[in-house]
Amino acid sequence: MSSIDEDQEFGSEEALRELFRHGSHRVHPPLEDEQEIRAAVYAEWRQVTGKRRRNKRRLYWAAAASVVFATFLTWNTFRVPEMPVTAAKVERSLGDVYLRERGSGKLTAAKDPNVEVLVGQTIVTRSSSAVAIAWSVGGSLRLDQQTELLIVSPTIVELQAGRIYYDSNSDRVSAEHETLLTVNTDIGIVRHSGTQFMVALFDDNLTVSVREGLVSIDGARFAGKAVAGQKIELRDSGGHTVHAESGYGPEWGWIESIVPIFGHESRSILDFLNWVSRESGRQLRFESSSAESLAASEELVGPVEVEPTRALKIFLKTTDLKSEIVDDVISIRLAAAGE
Amino acid sequence: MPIHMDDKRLVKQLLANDERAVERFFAENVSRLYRFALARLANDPEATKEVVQLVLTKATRNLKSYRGEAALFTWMCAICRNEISDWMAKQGRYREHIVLAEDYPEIQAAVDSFQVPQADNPERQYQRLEMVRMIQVALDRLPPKYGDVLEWMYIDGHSVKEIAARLSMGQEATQSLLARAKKAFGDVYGSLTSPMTTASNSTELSQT
Repeated sequence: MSSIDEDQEFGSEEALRELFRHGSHRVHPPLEDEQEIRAAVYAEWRQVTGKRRRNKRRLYWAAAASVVFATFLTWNTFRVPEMPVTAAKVERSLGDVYLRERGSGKLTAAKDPNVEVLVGQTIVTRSSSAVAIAWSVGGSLRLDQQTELLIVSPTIVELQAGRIYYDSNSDRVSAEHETLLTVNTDIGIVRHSGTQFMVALFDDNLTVSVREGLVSIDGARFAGKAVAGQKIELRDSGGHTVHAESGYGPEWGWIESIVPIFGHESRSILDFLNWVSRESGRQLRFESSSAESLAASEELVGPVEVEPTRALKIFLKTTDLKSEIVDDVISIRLAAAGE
Repeated sequence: MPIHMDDKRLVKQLLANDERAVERFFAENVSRLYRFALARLANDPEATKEVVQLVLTKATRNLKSYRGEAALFTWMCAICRNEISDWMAKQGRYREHIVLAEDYPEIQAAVDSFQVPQADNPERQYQRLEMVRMIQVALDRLPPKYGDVLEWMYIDGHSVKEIAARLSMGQEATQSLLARAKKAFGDVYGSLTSPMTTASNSTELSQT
C-alpha cells in the first residue's frame, strides 16, 4: 500500500510539483576527490583490460609477440618523442572548463584565454559552463554546458556528449583548410562547407541545425545534407526527422553567451553590426544608404564584452543610428531629429 | 527476472577496452555512489571518498562477474554496503550501523504527508528531511538522464521549451522523455516510501 494519498498519485502534475517543492539539488563529490577516484578507476580498468588482451595473445601469438617486442625495444630506444600538436586555443570561458588527458583521464582547468588545446585531449564543460575556442585552421568552435569533445586531429573532433557550434567564418579560413571541420559522433559524421552549424548529441539522438551554408551527415542509417534553415534529428534506434528551423531564437541563445570578445582593435560600426548579425543569426538591413554610410565611417572604440544582441542596444546609443529587431531582421536607420 | 541489457552492453564495451565506455561508466555512477555512501558514513567526505574509490575499483576488477540480473548501480550499491562495513571494522571503532529506510523494507517510512511540517515539531522536521532525502534517493535510482530532467523541471524550474533547447530535442520528444521520467520516479519513490510493518528507525550500536 502506498503511503501517498490516493488523490495525490503521480499522474497528477500538481502532486509531483508539491513533492518536489521539498526537494533540493543533489550533492556531488568535490572535484579534487572526483579526479582522484577517476585516476584510480582508470588505472584499474587499464590493468583489467590489459590482462584480457594479454591472455588472448598468449594463446595464439606468443612467438610473434616476442619478436615484435624486441623490435619495439630497439625502435623505442632511438625514436624521437612525438611533439604535441595544438589544435585550438581557448578564447573565452564561463564556469568550469577542463581538458582531459587521454589514457590517464587527468583533468586540468582550461579557463584562461590562450590555453592551448592539444590533439588527443578532450574538452569537458560542466553544468552552467561554456567555452569558445579559436580553431587553428580557422573558425570559432563553441561548447555548451555538459559537453565532452575529443580532439582527434586539427580538423577532426569527436562529440561524445552535449552540444557544439561551429562558425567557419569563411572569410577568415585559409584557402588550404577551407574545406572541412569533421564532427564524428556515434550516430553519424557531420562535415561542413562554409557554414555556421550546431551539433548536439543527447540521449542517443543526434541533432544537426544549420544556420548558414551546407552540412553533410553520414550515418549508419542516414546519409544526406542539411541546408540553412534546416534541423535534422537522427535517432540511434533508426529513423530521422527534418524540421524547418530558424537560425535565431532560444535554441541558439547559448552561443551568444560565449561569443569571443569583439574588437580588440578599432573597428567600424558597420563591422560591429555585421558581427551582431552573424552571431545572432539575423539579417542586417539598412533603411537608407545614409545610415549604411554612417555606419561604415564611424568607429567603435574599445572591445565589446557583452552578448551581441545586448551590445547592439548599448553601443548604438553613442551614435546617430537606431536599431530594431523583428524576427530574423535587424533594421538600422538614422535617428530622427531630437530622438 | 529481467536482464538489464543496457548495463550489460556497457560492461561488454568496458571489457573491450572502449575508453568512452569507462568515462560513461564513471560519469553515470560516481556522484550517485558518492551520495549513497555519504548518507551511510555520517556525511564524512573523507571516508566517503575512500569508500567510493574502493567500490569503483573493485567493481571494475570484477566486471566479468556482472550478469545483468540487477542494474549495474544496484550491483555496486551491494559492493558499497560491504565496503562500508569493512571500512568501519578497519577503523577499529564501535560499529555504528546507520539504518536507512530504503535499506530495510520493514522500517516504517517517515513520510505520509505532503504538508509542510511545523517548524517547531522535531518529528515533523525529521519527516521533512527524510522526504528530501527520499526524493534524492529516488532520483539517483533512475537512469541518469531521467533524474537530470526532473531536477531541471521541478527544482530549477525550467520550462519544457527550455529543457528541449538544452537537450537540443524537439518539444514533443522532451515531453515524452519527461513523461517516462515522471512515471519511473513515481514507481521508484512509491516503492521506497511504502508503509512498513515495523515502526522503528534506529541506530544500533555494537562492539566489533
